[in-house]
Amino acid sequence: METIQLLLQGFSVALEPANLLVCAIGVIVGTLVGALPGIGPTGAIAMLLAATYKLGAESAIIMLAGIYYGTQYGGTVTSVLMGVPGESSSVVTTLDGYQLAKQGKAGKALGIAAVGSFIGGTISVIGLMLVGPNLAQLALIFGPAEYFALMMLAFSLVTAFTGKSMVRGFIALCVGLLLSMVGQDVMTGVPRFTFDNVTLLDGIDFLPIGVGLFGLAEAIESFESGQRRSFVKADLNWRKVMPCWQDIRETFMPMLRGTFLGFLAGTLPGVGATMASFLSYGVEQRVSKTPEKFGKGALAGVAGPETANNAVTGAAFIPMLSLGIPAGASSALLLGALLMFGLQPGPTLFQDAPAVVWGLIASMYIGNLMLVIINMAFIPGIVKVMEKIQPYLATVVLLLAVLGVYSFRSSTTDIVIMLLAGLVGYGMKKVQIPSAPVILGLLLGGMAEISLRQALTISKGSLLIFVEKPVAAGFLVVAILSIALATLTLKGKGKALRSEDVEG
Amino acid sequence: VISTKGKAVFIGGPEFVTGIILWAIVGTVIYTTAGMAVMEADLTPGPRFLPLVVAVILSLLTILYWREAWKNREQGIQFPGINQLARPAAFFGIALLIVLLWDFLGAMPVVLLVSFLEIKFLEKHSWQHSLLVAVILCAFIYGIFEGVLGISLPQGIF
Repeated sequence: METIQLLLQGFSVALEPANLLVCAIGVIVGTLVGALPGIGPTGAIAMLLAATYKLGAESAIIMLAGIYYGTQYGGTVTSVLMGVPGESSSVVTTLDGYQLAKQGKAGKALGIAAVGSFIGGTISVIGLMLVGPNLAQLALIFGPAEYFALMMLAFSLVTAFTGKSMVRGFIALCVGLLLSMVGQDVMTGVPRFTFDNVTLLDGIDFLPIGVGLFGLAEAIESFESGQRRSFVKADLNWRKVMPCWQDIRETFMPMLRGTFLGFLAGTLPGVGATMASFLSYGVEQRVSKTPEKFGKGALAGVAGPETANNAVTGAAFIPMLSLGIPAGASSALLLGALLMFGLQPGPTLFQDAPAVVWGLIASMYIGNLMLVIINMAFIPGIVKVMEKIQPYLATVVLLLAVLGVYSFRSSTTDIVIMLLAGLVGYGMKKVQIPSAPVILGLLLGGMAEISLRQALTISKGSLLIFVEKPVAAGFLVVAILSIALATLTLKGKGKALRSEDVEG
Repeated sequence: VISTKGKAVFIGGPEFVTGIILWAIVGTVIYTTAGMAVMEADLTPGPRFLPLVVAVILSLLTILYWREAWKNREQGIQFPGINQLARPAAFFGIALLIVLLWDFLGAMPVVLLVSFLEIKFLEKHSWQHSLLVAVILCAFIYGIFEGVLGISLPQGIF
């Protein structure tokens, strides 16, 4: 009953004209960003993060979240019409979506993907609404030891499953942690890594680093290939896109399975939409009566993964809002946005800022409805806008990144830091070191250090405190197990690669 | 480095350089925190405690990184060629103009100049087309940041 009341309160926030407008802008930008190869949701959120500062916490979070889940819808467009994924979670959609487009069934593929995305997205918001507050309630009992162990769990989960190499992920995490230590030590006031520079005493803000690592680095990289692909010509008016009853019946179960898998994947830090979509594709192929159709234009091969990658979005907010632990790079930036507005994500957020949290949840219902309409009725318009924007994308990214970072605190130094971070991010891509753990370390490093030092102060320097507290011990055990699992998985992949090489 | 049998005998140059940079970071952490306490008198961690722990872990990870690079030396990462780097470098070079001219010229003239240069020389559009798009982008940026968001951008000499 209380949940319903809070949700109604959230709707009163989300339905304010200004918030409806920012929600619409967010989902439209998200759809375009998702559809445009070369810029992902993380880059887009990073770029617009600072620009939303003036909107206030509620509107800003609603808009940024709209971009986040909007990208999952938009990614389908290029996957189906160009055979190029708009972002990584749509890679698997290209397998059957592009084949369907070549068979003249592009409208059918896009329509089913939009319906699946709506179902996955909406059910995952219901899950967020039911699980989030209860998890936050449970987490209220956490002390410094539990918090430190929880941070370790988040670090290990996100880092171990990011990229192809765990070592590279942990290197990136260490760099992020060291960046979080720049500035005055919160407990003793001693300046660390400031090199006598007064501006560094307050520490390094995550914003210019995030914008540089994700937004600018992607823009720089986009200049390497410089090749553009064209769209498959197709009639995409709403009648062609609207799925018929038979299509819905054929894809209903794949959508349900995709929702379940996506929701599960979303709640686990580090797993994310890409893995969810691949898992769903694998499951659908396995349970299908006609597995030979997969890769040649199976509708279930589009419906399952597209539902799964959208089901991730609502679920990803659960650890972020309830525990203050981001599930991946995009939610790390959303966590940063909450911090930017002086809100502390974690167990107390549901009590401290109910208007923000429930306004966000309510806006996700509205946003998903907007998205299904946009993606069924306005596909030709989206394609036209994409064709117009694509040649100037890198320039637009650069300008938004610069002006967004500057508008945060009117600092030219932040622009310099952002450009340097962009260059470093580009270099990291070249040497295959992932960027997401850097942001994770930078955002959570300060809190992890304080929790560690508080816990050790309580225990008078004894590390046994992390073993004696059952919840903390549990988190640490899961953290160690996740690293072990990732090691085994990567070894398996290595073996598979080697055997492929031999066979090849 | 490729041996006479066609097999790589050393890790890729970028991986070697990355390792060196990581070692430099470790060295900087250890050197600059040298005067700080690792543990306080009451056995609680001091300001050097976590930096030192992270530095030690990073140094071990660097060794593992080189080991991993050596094991995969057959597919070792190579430095990109000049052709591959030319356009990203030009893009970044033009972006640097923003920092150099931001306070002097002001935000809008810089936006106009940078977008024109990017579109004309990197996207290879005509002069008229580049100028038109640059003006549209400038108006769009002005409308969003000054108009809608009310952010005060530097005016420069204008």
